[in-house]
Amino acid sequence: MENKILNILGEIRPEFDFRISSNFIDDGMLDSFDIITLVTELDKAFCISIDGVDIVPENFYNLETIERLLVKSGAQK
Amino acid sequence: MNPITSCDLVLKEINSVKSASRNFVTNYYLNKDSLEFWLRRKCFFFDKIGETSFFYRKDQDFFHLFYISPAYEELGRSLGVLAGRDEILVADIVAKPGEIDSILSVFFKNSFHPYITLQRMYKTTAMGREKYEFHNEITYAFKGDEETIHDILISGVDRYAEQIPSVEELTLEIRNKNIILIKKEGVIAGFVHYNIKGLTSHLRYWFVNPDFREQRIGSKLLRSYFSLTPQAIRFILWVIQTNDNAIKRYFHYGYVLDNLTDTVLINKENMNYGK
Repeated sequence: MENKILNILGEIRPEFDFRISSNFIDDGMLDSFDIITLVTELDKAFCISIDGVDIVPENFYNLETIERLLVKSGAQK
Repeated sequence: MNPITSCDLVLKEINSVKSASRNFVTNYYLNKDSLEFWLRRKCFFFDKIGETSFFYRKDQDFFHLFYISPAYEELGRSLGVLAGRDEILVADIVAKPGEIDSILSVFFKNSFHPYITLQRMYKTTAMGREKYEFHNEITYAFKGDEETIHDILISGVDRYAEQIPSVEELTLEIRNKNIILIKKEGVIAGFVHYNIKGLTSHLRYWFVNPDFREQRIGSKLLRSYFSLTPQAIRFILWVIQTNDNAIKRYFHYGYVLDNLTDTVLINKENMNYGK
């Protein structure tokens, strides 16, 4: 799951190394527009539909929080 | 239009629309710092029309319009009610090609008109990082410069197309060392206003006083800006899509066009950019 997330993040923002950050938002690696793109790509890649209420910055801080969100949204580990 | 006094109300409205529909549509991307600032200034308002929540931010003689709605159809119905309002309403629709047409058509059917389109540009250090030096003519803006900078922006920048910072915001930006400038004989010959968040830097304004053109002021400012942001990996800015001269200059400094645009819409007819 982590590699798949990293691939998607890498396609959205290839200039950043997402493995070294614990807060993608505070580190300026993802902005609000990127999050909307990320949600669409995660939905497609994991065949899920992330709920609107879950589209909040704290669910996109790092790989761990994104993974937790995916599991909550029904993605298979 | 009701004044908003707490962040909680905004969050509650956003969540209620989001939880009712997975296909909700919005142009409001919550930024708590900005929201708290607007609430302190008492310039943020709210309306619920049908199932759409509208937020309005007062700015000079108009309101920035934000919406969050369960779907395009519902947004259209709510905009229809909004269309009869006397206030000038300006909506920014930020989207990628292919996503923009469906949302714009909803606005066009409900008395909103295209005003201008901005284009995002960016560069990354992966595309090459030149060595830039801070020019010795340049200083940070000082307390007291905010009024002059604000006057320059008000007289030189289109208020509907650009998000002109207030004097209060500029005071904060000066305190945070986010504005550098060159003064010649006590007059601001040019300035750069920028923000940095983690690894991304946003160039907000790059201004050269017409009286001081052909003196490489702009180049000195931009090079100094890059020298002040060594931690940044990504640099972004917004430019008027038809401003070929500005785009050409940004190309010169390594920026390229992003695929994100901001279409500015207005609810009044015959309003022309720059007038």
